[in-house]
Amino acid sequence: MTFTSVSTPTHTIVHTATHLADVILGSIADILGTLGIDATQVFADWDRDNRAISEWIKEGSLNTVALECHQPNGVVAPIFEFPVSYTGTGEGDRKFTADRAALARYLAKLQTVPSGTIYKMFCSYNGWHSTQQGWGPATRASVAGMRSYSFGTLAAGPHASTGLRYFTK
Amino acid sequence: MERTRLIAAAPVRSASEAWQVLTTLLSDTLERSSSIPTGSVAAVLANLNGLGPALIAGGHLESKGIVLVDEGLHLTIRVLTADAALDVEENLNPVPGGGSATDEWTIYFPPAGPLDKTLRSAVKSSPHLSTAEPPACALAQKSERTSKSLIDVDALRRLGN
Repeated sequence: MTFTSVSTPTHTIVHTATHLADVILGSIADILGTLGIDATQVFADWDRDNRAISEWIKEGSLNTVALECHQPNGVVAPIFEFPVSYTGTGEGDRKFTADRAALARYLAKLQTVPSGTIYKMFCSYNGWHSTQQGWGPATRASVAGMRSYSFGTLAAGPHASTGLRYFTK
Repeated sequence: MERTRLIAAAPVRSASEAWQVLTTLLSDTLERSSSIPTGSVAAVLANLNGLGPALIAGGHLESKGIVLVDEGLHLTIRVLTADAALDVEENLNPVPGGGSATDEWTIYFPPAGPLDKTLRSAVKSSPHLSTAEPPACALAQKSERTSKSLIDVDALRRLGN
């Protein structure tokens, strides 16, 4: 008896995680560049943070990546959120997308921040998540009372997608 | 001769891995030349560690790409992402012409939008990096250098007088 098999192109959650982690971190670098906030530490920690975000998407535990801008007067604004949505076992025909042109138009409308503003990055989770180097418990600033704008879907893959929300005073 | 090479980034590989592939391709190409010490190309690009992956992840090397220019070399490398990355047929072999590369090789970076300021600052770390518009072809750079380094225009004028 002869067994035959057909190979079909498959994209795993690893591909989706790699794609979304890159888009999220790339967008954060672009946001900081637009606002004029020193992003030296983002570049220095790039590999470590990319690995962490990618691993958490692979295990389905990453809920949201948040970027907070801490102004010298104590105000925390704007705040950016990258919520991650999962599609179960993956949608076979779904493509890998990244809407960078729309992001660029969105960034052009951002209000500037005062000199000396620094950033903080946070991740929140859907329950259990693995431990990743350089990441530990922390408390986020509240977005209560802030105006919220939604960018919609920023990037997507067969197993998950990420959007972008923007909060400002 | 003008050549173009394509590198696949995410979802095929992360931006950091793609940056490493790009560094290796440039090193393998240029360091075939006896004029360029082993490890020197990677050392120059190490000044952009972190920023290089950010350029890739932000899609800033997707449409125009970086351009390596030297005598006999005019190589554009574009790094593609998302669906476009899945269709890339990579050729990561050293690019012909590298064996005769000189120590005046230059890598030109395209405009990077929000990362422009950071990039302009980073390229100051080495004379081999630039954010200027690249010469149209390798021959142009060669003739430009020749006119700068070999012909003393003032001396010619004096001879004519």
